Amino acid sequence: MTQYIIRRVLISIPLMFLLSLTSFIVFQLAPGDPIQALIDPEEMLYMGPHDIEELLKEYGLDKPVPVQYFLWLKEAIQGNLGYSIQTHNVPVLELIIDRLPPTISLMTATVAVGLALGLLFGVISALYQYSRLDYTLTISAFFMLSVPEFFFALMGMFIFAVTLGWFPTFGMWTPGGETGINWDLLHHAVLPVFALAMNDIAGLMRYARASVLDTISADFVTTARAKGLSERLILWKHVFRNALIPIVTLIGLRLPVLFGGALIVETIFRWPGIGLLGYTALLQRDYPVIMGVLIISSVITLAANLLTDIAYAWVDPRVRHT
Amino acid sequence: MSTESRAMDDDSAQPGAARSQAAADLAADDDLIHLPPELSPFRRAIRRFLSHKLALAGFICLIIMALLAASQAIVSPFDPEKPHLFKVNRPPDTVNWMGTDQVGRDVFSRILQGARVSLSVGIVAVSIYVVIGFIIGSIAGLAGGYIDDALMRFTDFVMTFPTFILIIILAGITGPNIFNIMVIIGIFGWPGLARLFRGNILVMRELEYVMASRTLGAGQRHIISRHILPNIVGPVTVAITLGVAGAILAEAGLSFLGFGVTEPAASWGSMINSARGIAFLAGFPWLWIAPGAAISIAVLSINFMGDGLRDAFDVRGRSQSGE
Repeated sequence: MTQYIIRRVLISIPLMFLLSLTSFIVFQLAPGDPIQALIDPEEMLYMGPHDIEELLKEYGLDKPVPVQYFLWLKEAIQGNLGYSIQTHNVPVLELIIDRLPPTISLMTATVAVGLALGLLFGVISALYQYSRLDYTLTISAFFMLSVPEFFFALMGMFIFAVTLGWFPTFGMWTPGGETGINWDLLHHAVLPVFALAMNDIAGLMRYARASVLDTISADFVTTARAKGLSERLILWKHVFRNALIPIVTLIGLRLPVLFGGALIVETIFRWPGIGLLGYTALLQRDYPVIMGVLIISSVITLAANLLTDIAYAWVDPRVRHT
Repeated sequence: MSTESRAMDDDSAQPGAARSQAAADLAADDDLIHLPPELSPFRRAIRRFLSHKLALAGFICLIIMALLAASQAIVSPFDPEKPHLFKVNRPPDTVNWMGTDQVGRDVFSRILQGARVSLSVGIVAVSIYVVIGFIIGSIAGLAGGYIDDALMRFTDFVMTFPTFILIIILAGITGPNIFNIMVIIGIFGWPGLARLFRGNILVMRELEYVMASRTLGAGQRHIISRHILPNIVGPVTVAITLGVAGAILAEAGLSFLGFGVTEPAASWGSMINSARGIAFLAGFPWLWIAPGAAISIAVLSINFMGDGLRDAFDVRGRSQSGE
């Protein structure tokens, strides 16, 4: 097991490297001159070419691009992701760390809701295969996979917040009210979480259904039945365990998609996470912040994939030995 | 599965008399006896697809959308980009079937224009990534060894990247324009297809008839074009279909955030984007419900079609596809 973890971690290192390189290249593509972005245009009028050259030298921008990359990487590894242009030189890392908890809680809640309802519906659908319930669930899954999350979000807002008034329209807490993990937060979270979770519920439901159907017809289940085990024992000990555990890995794979969805949902519900931060930064062309958001969300995705792989190897010994 | 095959099963289960009668009928018509074996796999797939009701409905829906999009200039009741300041934010009526927007443009005409954008972005983006996926997947599958390892690691990497975030950033940086959108969505969609091509090539290289062909001296190119490609048409068609749905959703998401198609041209996503404020949301719901429904119907049709194709081409075995 330790060996597997070490190998898996080692594989992630070149991935991280590739990731930083991609982010750097994307940043290089951005139009505009970093010096111009840094300096007040009025001040610029009084500066000669010599001053600008000196600034370029100071920031290491006179060096060739590959050298710039390594300089940047050195800083980034130490946690210096640069300074935000728009918010008057607040460190990017600080901005992101502030905005991370809302996004993480939104995504965790989404995964939890997605797993709970997805597996539940999937199992029901499989156990009552070809029943009317199965058809209804399958067709609803198609709807949930096809309707974009922003349309779900707007419909949810229109129906449950504007028309019925059951839930607040945006934010994490009632302005002026108490913050922290409380009922108010939960109340605010329902609409965004469900808008984001629809896709997961449907996707996991389809997988769970296929997986349960597959396992139910496996030989070891027939054996269990032949031994005279009760149906309940067969389902819980043999079918569900074998059918549903592989689904754990899907969470890791869905995470990159979830980040995109979270960005959209956060902008709709004004949920103050890194998605909203990245979106406003993009509108303001605040490139260091955009870069930071890209890097942090990729690092989290990689880390989560690492964790799901290790968790999977832990529950399924076969994985370790291949 | 199909009503037809069920009917045939019923026939064979019937008691002797009726069965021999049926056999006699069959024997009387020479063509009928030979009909089943003469059906090519492709025609059988078409038959199966046509018997899949939802898939057929999706297909018809999509054809109608494509026709409307193609003939948009003729069928559009109004100029989709022409403001009309005397009829702003009108609810749907008999003249403007889906109402008018903030500057009095006809929503229905803009939906038609949006159909053009969405469908073309979907098709072009997917074409781009089919080509990339094909090249990377077949090189990996055929070369094997280190090249395969490196390419597959890279594919895994692209899959773990939060692609949509990167797409948004690239679209935000390169500037909103439909061509950029197509390319940006296209260059990140290929990993699934690359794996599909590679996996199928690896499996098929070991199939007996392929080995036989190789033993007889067939070259790599012959094996690919005659044996491997025809066999992956099914899975690839399914992947392409679902890919178009994904690309349409990606474009809608981008335009919704304001990084896609911009005014005055319409795309479904950007129409919703311009109706986002809470006042519009509550007061003029047709402005966002119409384009939202259009996206959903288009994607749903394509997904139903993809499911039908999966059954038709027998991808993943018919037993678990659940009709």
